[in-house]
Amino acid sequence: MTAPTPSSGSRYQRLIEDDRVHGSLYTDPAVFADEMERIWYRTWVYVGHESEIPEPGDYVVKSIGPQSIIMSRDRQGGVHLLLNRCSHRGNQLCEARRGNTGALRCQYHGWTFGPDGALLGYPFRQGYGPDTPKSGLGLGRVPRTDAYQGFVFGSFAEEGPTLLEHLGSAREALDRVARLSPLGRVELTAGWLRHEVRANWKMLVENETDGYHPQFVHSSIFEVGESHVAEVYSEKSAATARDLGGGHTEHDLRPQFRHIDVPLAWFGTTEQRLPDYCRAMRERHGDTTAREILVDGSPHIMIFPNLFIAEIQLFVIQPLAVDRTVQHVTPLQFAGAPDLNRRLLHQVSGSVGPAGFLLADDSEMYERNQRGVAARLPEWLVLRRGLNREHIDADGHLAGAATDETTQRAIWRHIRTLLTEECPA
Amino acid sequence: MDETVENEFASVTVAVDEAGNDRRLRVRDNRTGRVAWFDALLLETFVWTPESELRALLDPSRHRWTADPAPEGEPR
Repeated sequence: MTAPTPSSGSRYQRLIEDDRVHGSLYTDPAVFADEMERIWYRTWVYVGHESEIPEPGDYVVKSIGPQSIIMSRDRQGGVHLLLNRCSHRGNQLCEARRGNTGALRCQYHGWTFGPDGALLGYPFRQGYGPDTPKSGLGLGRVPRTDAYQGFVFGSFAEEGPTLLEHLGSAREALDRVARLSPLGRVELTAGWLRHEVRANWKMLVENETDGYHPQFVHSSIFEVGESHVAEVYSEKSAATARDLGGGHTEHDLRPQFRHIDVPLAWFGTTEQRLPDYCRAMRERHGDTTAREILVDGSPHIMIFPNLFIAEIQLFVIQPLAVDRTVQHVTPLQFAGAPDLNRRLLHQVSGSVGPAGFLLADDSEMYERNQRGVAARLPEWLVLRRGLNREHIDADGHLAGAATDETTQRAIWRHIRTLLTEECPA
Repeated sequence: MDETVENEFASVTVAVDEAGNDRRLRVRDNRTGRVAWFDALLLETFVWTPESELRALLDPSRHRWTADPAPEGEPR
């Protein structure tokens, strides 16, 4: 399916309505090209976590959409986001997903760069003459880099909102995650699972805070596991679907877990099973605050456009093509919490690992969805659920019931804004 | 005991060599077989070498890939 008119801002005004979106938005390569330029290469995008490059010389290969990005740490501790492309003839510089080195050397002709991207030299310099400057031949850099709670973001736009402005109300969720560590630090050190689906990236973004699907897609998990999770995604749930602004959405489970009022219920375990962690949390925060933190648990938030924190795990969404998307998944790990970390690793392996149901179930839906939207009729996807009952909450955010499509509408409103607003020349 | 130290750009085998009157490091470039020895003073010198000079050493044209003649008595 292709969109009915040529690319323009008004086209997206027509294709993205307040309560329905056109199917071509998931299937048209021209739409994908516009999204790359106006969303992925313009707004802040999550790249990696500082804990993945703890030592000088450490680097990891990450991405901003289809762009391969080297996240490196120099000897002074500075973090750099570099394009994974030799400045000479364009060869891919790093092949390994992670490593430690004092310099990056292209395997094609030996051009060599520092961890900060500066050109250190090339073989047989006589061939370039004495006047060839090295200063203009460094690696491409992501123009803006910033971090919050160790989460590193990059933006290809030279100017624009700051990272904190971009995060807005979503920043508080990153604080919540860090607060679950007895030392106040998240560590993404457990390794990554990489999972590709034949589906458009927005299907994943929309699904992450969709409280309507778990009772169907994930029913097999709810049937075999003894947990409170199924209650969270029911019509009686006290959880809230919330538009945090800027395309960020959350499925706020705190009201439901406060109703249950059992520490660590969000993690499907008990204080008795994690005595060291709970003791460390009480020592840091005191009994009352520690209990509140352990009852509230970790957030379920989709930070637009690619960082999804799902209580115990973190997903990074990477679009490759209009119908190809990679999910990079890792368990959250917390500094000073080895017993919690072990359990997190096991639980995440069980849910999204090769034998897990969670990712497999969702992925099956993504791919069916991609095939479904290719149908010529009907042309539109319906996003009306909860329109009749959403409201502005005490913090000024638009909020709906747990199973409402408040979050999907919020995502599409933001996408429409980004695809239609005037771009700087 | 031999230890391999490598990343995707280079691979060397490091061993403590006791053939001389003091212990020193023997480092072998696994891709070419070239070997060099580093005594305690040389290693200490590296520890004190500013980053700017270490970066200069990483210039491929500096020693290895150059048309300049090698210093007298040394192989290129």
